[in-house]
Amino acid sequence: MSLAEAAFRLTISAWLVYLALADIRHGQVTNWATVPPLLGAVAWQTVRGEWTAAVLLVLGLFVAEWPITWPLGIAGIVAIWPQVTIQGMEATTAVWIVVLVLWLLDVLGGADVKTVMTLMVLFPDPRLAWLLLLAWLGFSLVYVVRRHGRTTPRVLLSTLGKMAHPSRSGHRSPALPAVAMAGLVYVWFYL
Amino acid sequence: MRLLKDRQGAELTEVGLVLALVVVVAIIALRLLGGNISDVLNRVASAIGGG
Repeated sequence: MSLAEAAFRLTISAWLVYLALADIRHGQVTNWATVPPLLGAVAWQTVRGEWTAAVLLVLGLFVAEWPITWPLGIAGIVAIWPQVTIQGMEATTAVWIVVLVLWLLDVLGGADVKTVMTLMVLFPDPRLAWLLLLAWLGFSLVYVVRRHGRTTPRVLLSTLGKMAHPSRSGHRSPALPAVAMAGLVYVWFYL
Repeated sequence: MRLLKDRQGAELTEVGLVLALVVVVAIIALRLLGGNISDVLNRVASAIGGG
């Protein structure tokens, strides 16, 4: 590993650890820690010629601002899909769509969404998408089992039926550490 | 820009776990059914482009 590679991995790691700690302590993350990295990562991909990232960002922000325009977003993605596949941004597109929908449904917070979007545009790799999903599953499962114990299956079935949050547990269970964990594993073991 | 301004971090919840499980099941189902979304989207894009 070259010095530049090590510095890059350490920088990403420090950023992810900072985000996780900020979320644990405050339940929110300053936009200075999420917006510039997202815009920077998109700009970097655009400079490299992978301009679909910039188009996807514009479409995503447009739909986030005016959710009723989602058919326009889908149409835009379909229109540039051949270029998305050529530029290898399929996983990025899929994950961006999922996190944007989850944000619109109030399941994810803006800090989580921007962190995931940044990671996926920096590393448009399906393995990172799987890591994010598995980390989310793992952290959520630990949280739910710790909270509900043996009644976990019944609670999950009930949740599936109503798609509503059970009563609050009283203590916070921040989600950004799960995202950070996936990013750290990817940066150090898959990059 | 609502998304860019939103500083909130999400919390792990039962709903989040269920949704993640649904996504995993959907991906496995798509793979088992052999659905090739990329091909479908390419065909739709070609049709729109008149190709």
